Amino acid sequence: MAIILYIYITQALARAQALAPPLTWQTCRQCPEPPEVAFSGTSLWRGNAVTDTLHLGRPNVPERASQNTSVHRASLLLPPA
Amino acid sequence: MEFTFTLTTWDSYNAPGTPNPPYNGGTGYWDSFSVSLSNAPYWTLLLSDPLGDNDPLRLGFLWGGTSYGDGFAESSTSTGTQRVLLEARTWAPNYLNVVLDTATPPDANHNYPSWGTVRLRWIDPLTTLSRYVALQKELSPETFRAWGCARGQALPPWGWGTVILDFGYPAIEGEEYGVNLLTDEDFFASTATIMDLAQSFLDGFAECNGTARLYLALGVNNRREAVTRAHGRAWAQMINQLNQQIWGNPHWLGRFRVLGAIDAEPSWNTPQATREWVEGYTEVADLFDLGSYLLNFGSCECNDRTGTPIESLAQERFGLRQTWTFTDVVYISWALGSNFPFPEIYHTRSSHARQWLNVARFNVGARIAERMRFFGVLTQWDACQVRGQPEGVTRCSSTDNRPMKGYWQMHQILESTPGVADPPRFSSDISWYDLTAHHYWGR
Repeated sequence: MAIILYIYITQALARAQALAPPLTWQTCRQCPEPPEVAFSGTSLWRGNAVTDTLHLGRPNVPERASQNTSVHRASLLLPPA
Repeated sequence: MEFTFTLTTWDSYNAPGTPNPPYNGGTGYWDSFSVSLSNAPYWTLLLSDPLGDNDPLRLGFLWGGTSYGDGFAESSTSTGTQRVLLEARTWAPNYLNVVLDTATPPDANHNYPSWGTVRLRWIDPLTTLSRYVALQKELSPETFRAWGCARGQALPPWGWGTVILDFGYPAIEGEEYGVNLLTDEDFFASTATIMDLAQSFLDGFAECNGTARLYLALGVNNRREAVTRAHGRAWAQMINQLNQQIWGNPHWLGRFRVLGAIDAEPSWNTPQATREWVEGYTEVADLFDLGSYLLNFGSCECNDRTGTPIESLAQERFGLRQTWTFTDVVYISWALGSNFPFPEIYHTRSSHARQWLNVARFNVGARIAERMRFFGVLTQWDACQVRGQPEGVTRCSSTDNRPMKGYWQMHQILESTPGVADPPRFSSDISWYDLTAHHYWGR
């Protein structure tokens, strides 16, 4: 049973890998100050769907708070055609 | 691409002096949210505010506040999904940028912060050109090299596509397995010949594009008597050997993969024969080490509205007694673990997309296999045009979806029924004719 389960999982993973290249987000490394960027979700593509969520800046800060002077950004090198 | 967003800012992004009643706060190009494409990392671009939709940035979305220093935080939330068209370029890498920019001159400081969330949902693929291999005179290394080169030129350096070459009818001649071509039906080409031609195709692709990736799918249909387990095994053996050659070539490894493919259509043969061919393929295909998967780029021909089991047209046309069921279609397209659906989505009014939704829905409902993942969508827009069409081929009637239309029909219908299947990854359009140095973007 365990062997069958192992084969099934391995097979499913191999097939998923055939379709789902990982995406790599890059953030600014040359900005005056560090970027405020966070990610959640998965970088696996399901079809061409991406489920990545990008959080830019620090949420819910007051008007007089300070924010880094930066490009709070993420860039993604697009792999697919 | 598609995305949703929720953005908030205490700052402004407008021309200095812009009137902004009732708050009447400060103005200027300070904090901006944007979604864009560029050919180099964003931080290397020489930008200044206001950002515009011109080089080096292709801007799909831009938002900022109207004033600062007024005690008012402005927000913007997407209503539904935002869809923007950002055209990728062939000659350079394409970076998708999701940005909160508080640094671009002339206005930049630490004051009046901004924040937000952007959730990506979708990025469209590009469309490749697949083709029928119909004529004996086309079976030369030079021709295949030229075809491969044309596909390489059509993809950007960062590109990735799937090209299907449909060689026609499975055939056996003596001890040899191979095909009879679609137009030159009496001509037999062996798997050894096809293997050489496929190598020429990959050579041509590699010569004309040094970095893009390609799935090359070599296909037959499920018509005639040679649709047998033994033929499926021989086809898989050929695919394995090609993938072994790819593994042995450091310039090809990681870029190319050869797949088997079958245009399985219920009206052309019995489900038993088709199942046996697919089973034979699966028995021999090396999935784990070589990734010799199989694509079904066929049709369903089922009732698209009610989802009732298929009443095979084969019975009427060819006197075949077997009736296809959804189980058969799921089996040959997905359930074996070796195969993926790459369905023909030809019909301009979504009929084919609805059929395949029903197949996917049946798979989940009957618990045959895990939910389907559609490898891609095949259209025949180019084959439906007059050029290159062999005599005797019926002109298309409402089955000439443009590639992106077919792709989106499948995508949207699957998205409207969550949990049934994952949407298609690739898009390809099939032709009788080869368009050299032509690409399919924007169709």
